[in-house]
Amino acid sequence: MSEARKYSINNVLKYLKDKLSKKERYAFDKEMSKDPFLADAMDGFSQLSPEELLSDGAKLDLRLKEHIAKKKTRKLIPYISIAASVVILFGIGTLMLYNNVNKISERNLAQDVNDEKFTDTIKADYLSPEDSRKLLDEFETSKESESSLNESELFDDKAKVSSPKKEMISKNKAPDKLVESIMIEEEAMPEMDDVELEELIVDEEPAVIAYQQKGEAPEAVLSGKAAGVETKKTIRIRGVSSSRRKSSREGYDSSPVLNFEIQGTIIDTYTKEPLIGAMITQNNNGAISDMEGNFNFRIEDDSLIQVSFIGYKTEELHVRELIENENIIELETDEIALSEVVVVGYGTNKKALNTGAVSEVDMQIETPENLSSTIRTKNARINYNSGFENHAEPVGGIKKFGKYLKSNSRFSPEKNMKVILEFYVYDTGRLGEINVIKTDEQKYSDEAVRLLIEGPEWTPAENNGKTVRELVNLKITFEKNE
Amino acid sequence: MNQNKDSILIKKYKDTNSLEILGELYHPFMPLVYGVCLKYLKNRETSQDAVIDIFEKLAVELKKHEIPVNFKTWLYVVTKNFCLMKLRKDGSESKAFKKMSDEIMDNGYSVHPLDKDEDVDLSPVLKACMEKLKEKQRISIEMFYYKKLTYKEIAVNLKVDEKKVKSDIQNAKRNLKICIENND
Repeated sequence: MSEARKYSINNVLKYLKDKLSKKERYAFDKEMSKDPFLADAMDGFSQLSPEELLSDGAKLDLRLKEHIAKKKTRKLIPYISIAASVVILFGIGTLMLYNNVNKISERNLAQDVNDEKFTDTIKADYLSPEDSRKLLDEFETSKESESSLNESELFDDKAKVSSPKKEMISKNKAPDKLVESIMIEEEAMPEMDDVELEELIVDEEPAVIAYQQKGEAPEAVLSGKAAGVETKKTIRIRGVSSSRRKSSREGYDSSPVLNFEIQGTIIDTYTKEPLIGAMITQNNNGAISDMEGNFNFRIEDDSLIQVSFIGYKTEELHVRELIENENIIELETDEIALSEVVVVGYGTNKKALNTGAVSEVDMQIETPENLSSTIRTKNARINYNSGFENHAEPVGGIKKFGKYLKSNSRFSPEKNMKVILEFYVYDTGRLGEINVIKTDEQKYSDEAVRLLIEGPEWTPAENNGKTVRELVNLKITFEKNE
Repeated sequence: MNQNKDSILIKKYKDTNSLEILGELYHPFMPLVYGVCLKYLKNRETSQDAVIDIFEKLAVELKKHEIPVNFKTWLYVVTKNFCLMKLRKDGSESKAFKKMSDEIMDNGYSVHPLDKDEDVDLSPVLKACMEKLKEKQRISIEMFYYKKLTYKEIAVNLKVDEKKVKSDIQNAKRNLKICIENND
């Protein structure tokens, strides 16, 4: 019998209605005994009447067909909307450019005009990930510009102070158009007083940001690249405090600067639980995550951001990476065991914070210092992140476990293959929720899981005199043939 | 071999990204997926939704990873994990979740010596271990594997529930396996 027919609803129904011959029935039973998938499914079917089963089978067939058909049409829609937006933005861009062309040489912006504009357009403090991304895009594309703009100047104090107000408009421009098309707002910056702002140019030109030399016609600068590929909004801000301008500079004025706040979360990469009191810093700015692992942080420029927490490896990342991960930062525990750290008042901590049945949070509270420890042998390493008195381990110890792995492995690779699994050892000693965290190759992770499940029993972790559930991280190395 | 057929379809899917091809692969296994979901999630509508959700998951996972050696086994694991995660979302302390987590470990990946397709041989180790089994379990094993009676017949014979017969046999197999491995 082909694979398909074996498990078909029709066959199952026949079995349930006892319409199979003895031989067929026995074959079915044997298959059930051999195949846990079928056995489980039959258990599930026993909840339904044959009629219900038949109708559900038909329903599912139909749903699958519909689902496939639906997905096909949905794929086209994004392309159409992208195309449409490109056309629109391109159109707006050309309009803007046309408007701006005549204003290049003007120098004096009315300060008061600008101030009013600020208060009108200030919106939320925080940028959503989308807006942050847009801002970052513009910032980065501007950095890639062909000008000889000195990068260090981007982060001058001067530049920072002078740039951010993007709604700055020169006197003669049509202010409304510009304001409407700008989608990024910022907090008001009070220290604008001593800065003389020159001009704001909003281009919708594709990806070209050429810093304009004083007096040079924009067409010359932008020519050659105007054939747009993808439209990116570019905001160039020129304007530098005249009082602090370096005389040696050759007329490339200030640069775009990042300045926005984000909200995010810091979590443990394995348990996915929030880290409380983790530090996030950039240059000299810092913030700390709260009781839920959340933080508010102001991004100032695109230098690296550090995230650190005791017991975890410090992460350094770029603003872009942060945003691309939806402002969620994952930290990995440091394998160096903090065995020298003495936990004082362990019992008290638990009492004070443990206000309910929160077994998930328990992990964090019981290990205020995030003690991690490891036991290992040549081809296996177990990592623990909880500070339990006794950790869960395979009966016989890690060395015996390693030997078991070696002698029962079905494969011998040409080079060392590593698999990292993560699973719970329940207070009963049973294993559960085995997840593959990392693997060099799927067949090895499958094999690792098999070895784990069929391997020796595990003694559960113990704490305060009773067994507890523990999350265990296991790395198995399939050693190469000697 | 059936496994090759699945692998061929998966490769085709990876090359073309065609959901229809994936559907062709998935369709014969849908009842199994449905049954397992029913078992753990209990609810018909939820389980039917799950079948489609798992299909979507397949679409993503198969593209990401290498072709699994045994698609059916892999699909089984994915299905169980999906149900587990769903139960966990509804409250990790729920009875259903605990029950499932406990049960999951019962199903091994390897073929039990008794389940090999050839006629069951009576290796001395197997024989010795059989003797060690509890009476009830030994009888169930003998009736099922040696006398080749169906679950139904055994149930009638021993005057117990079919469910009990199945669980006795599963337990017996587990004990046998442990016994055999200890003696190797």
